Amino acid sequence: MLFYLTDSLIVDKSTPEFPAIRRAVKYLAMAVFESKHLLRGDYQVLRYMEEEFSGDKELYPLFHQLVSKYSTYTVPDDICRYVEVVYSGYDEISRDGHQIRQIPFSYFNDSKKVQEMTVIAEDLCDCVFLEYVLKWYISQNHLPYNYNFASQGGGGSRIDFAVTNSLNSGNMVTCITDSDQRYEGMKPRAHDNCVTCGKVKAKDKIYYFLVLPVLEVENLVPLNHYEALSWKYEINRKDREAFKKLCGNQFSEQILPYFDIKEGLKKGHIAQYGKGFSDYAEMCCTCNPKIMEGKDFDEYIDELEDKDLIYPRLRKRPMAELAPMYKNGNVDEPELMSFQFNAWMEVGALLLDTTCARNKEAITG
Amino acid sequence: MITAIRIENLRSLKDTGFIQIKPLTILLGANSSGKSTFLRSFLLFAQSVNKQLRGPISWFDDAMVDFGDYQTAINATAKENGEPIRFSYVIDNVNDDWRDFRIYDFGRRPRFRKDVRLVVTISFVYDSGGTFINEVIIQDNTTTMRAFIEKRNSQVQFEVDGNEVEMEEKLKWNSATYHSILPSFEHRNKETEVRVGEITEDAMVSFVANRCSSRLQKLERIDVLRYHNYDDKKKLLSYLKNNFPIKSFSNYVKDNNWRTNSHEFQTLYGYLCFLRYMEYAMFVDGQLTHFYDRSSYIAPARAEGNRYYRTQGLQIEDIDPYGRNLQEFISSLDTEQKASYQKYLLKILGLSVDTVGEEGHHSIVLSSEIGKFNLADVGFGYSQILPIITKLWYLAEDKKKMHRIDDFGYFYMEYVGGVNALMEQPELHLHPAYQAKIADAFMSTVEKMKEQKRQSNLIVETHSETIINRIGRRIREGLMRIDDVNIVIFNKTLQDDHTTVEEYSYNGNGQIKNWPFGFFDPDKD
Repeated sequence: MLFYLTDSLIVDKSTPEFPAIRRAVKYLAMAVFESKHLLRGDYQVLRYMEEEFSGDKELYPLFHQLVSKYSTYTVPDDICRYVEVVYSGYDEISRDGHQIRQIPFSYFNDSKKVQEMTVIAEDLCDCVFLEYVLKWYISQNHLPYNYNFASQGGGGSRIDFAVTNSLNSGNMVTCITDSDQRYEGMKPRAHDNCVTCGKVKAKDKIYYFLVLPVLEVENLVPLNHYEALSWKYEINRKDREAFKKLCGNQFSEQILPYFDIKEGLKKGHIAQYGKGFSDYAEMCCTCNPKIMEGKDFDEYIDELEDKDLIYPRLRKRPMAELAPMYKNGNVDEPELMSFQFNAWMEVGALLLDTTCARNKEAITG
Repeated sequence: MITAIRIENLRSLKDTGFIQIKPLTILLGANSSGKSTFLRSFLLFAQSVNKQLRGPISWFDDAMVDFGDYQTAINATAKENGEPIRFSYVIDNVNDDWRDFRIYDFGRRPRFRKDVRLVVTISFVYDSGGTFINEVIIQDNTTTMRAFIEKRNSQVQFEVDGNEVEMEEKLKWNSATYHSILPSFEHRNKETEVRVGEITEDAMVSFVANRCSSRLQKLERIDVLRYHNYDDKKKLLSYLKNNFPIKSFSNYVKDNNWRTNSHEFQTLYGYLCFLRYMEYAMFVDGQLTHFYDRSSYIAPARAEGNRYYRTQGLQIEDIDPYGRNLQEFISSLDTEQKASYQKYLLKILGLSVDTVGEEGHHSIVLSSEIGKFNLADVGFGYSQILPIITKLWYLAEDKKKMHRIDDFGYFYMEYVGGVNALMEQPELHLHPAYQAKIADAFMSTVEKMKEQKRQSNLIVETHSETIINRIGRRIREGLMRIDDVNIVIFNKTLQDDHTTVEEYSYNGNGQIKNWPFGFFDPDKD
């Protein structure tokens, strides 16, 4: 995360706030020194802190660098969201295309509050995938950024609890959940993660939240990465063939964001999600008429039990298999569909904003 | 005053877009990103304008730069696509420039509009006879005028706003240049360029006279057309109908129901535009020639300081690119200049420099509070910084002759404007503290040149973060104006065959707006 010190932090050293301001800046600067975050600031406050920490072997060089290279140590355009450390008050403002969270210095009264960003997704494998997306975003845009974050699995449907607990423990949190949308235009339900996580009370916390525009994170996996999995079992191969029928046609961009890759489409889902889902399932079957064995869609559905599949899944737990490959970088260049590309860009931008950190090896502070 | 330059299809510079030339223009970029090509394009023309050439460009000169030839200089993609090398210029404050730059054409001065801004594009192509110009486009506030040839010896064709103008006179371009860049117009009888103008003017006068009453005695009365502000077709037509002093011609225009698209009107408008084009072209040629001719260059690695220099007693007027004539230069200064020089050095470097010697050899001696030292006995950095600081002082020095008069045969041009000082990596071998001093010297020179109202430009190619930050600091301190600096970054990745160029500026806090994060980082790809 990029923290920006404002001149409002300049107070007389004899005032009672000064020790707390000094401590907050020290914690932040140490976190930056340890490559957990990035630091920028107004010129006067940086000069002030350079002088204040002139005896500190670790922090003086940091502030000195920020002062002496002030012209080029700007808030980069690539970073859209950052935190401004102010004297008082919580606020959210927009300036020069940046979304700025204003947090008072008193928030940073504990070194726990400045630890690296915690990224929470539904499970840890999802976090590995999201980190891969971040790396792709950095490389795709030729951005020379370092990042740092701690991953946390949100435990599936209890992710809002995980977020709340983490925030209450003093962490800053970026939460990324799927939309649980079964078809385009489906309204979210009260218990969906995308709703509960959006309702987390975080006015006085550092919390960022993104809903992926897909049913599940698996829908963002490039198709060529699925191809790289092992398909030696007959049943898997059949499922893959059925899935392939959904790809590369005029409906693919509408189908694949909402296709249940792990479970497939079940008859029972129609009762659960209504006509919108039925239409969606029909669109899938239209791409692969063989699956209906010569019947029309209504006939085909009528003959199925609630537990029966209308359309088979692709793979039961693909992310568990993919995660080690992403972790080791053992995957081909992703071939992204349009909706995937847009989502990857969105994820990459958010993660870059919230996890950017000083590169120890770089001259850049 | 040339305020922006655009280069297309020169080496990796596929299209730079217009790069603003400000009093201090800083060129940044990784190695092989194209910034040197941009800087050296000044030297390419500088080495061309003073030679008698069969074409506009001398592609190599042992003393300056070596671009090989047209085939090696053109961008690879452009070569495949058959596109020419193009240089474009924005020339602002055209009218003001006449104070400094005059064409004496029988005492007549050009009749440019006061607020005219010219955008000029010149295309360079190649055939077995070498490089030549096949197109010159001049755009003023209202009109785009294009003169072009199909082949080297083809007749010149002329278009106004995309419409071809029928030229009664068959004109060609003579590509041979001396003290110029643009080709000169040549009549079939090998008449000079001035005669071409006169012939066109005569043709225009005849065209009008033939449509006036036979009682018209003084053809000079038609001349008023040339002085009229004829930028706008409708205004011109209205003028011809209602206010033109020769009533018989006005009546002819009305009787024949002239409109802006009438053939006769177009013919007359074409004559006037061509005459305007001729004036512009001569002005532009003079501007470009002197713009490049006044380029002064400092190379990245300057000569090492010697203990003794043999002196020839030369009166040196500029530091050579490697600072090899530094001793002769210092020795050439008169008392007043030397005092100014020492004052400048004390301010920037905290020391003074002079030459001492006898019988044909001299030494350069540096004096500071702790004593006097031969240049050969101090750090290598001094030999590197002194030519730069000396050149910067000289640029700012107003006690020198800056004007010159060149013989152009039929024309006489007098130019008393500024110079383009070009520097490649002035920071080489210098500690950051000295790099900062160089930046201070840049800014001091810019300020001084502005005080003297001389339009000079410092164009500096550098890898120094210190210089960038020092300039920012001086802006923050109010010692340098934001508008006087342009930061230009050249980018070229391994995957690209061409360079992209972006311009940056400082804000009031001395920070560079939209500065690319990690630009100076060692692990930037």
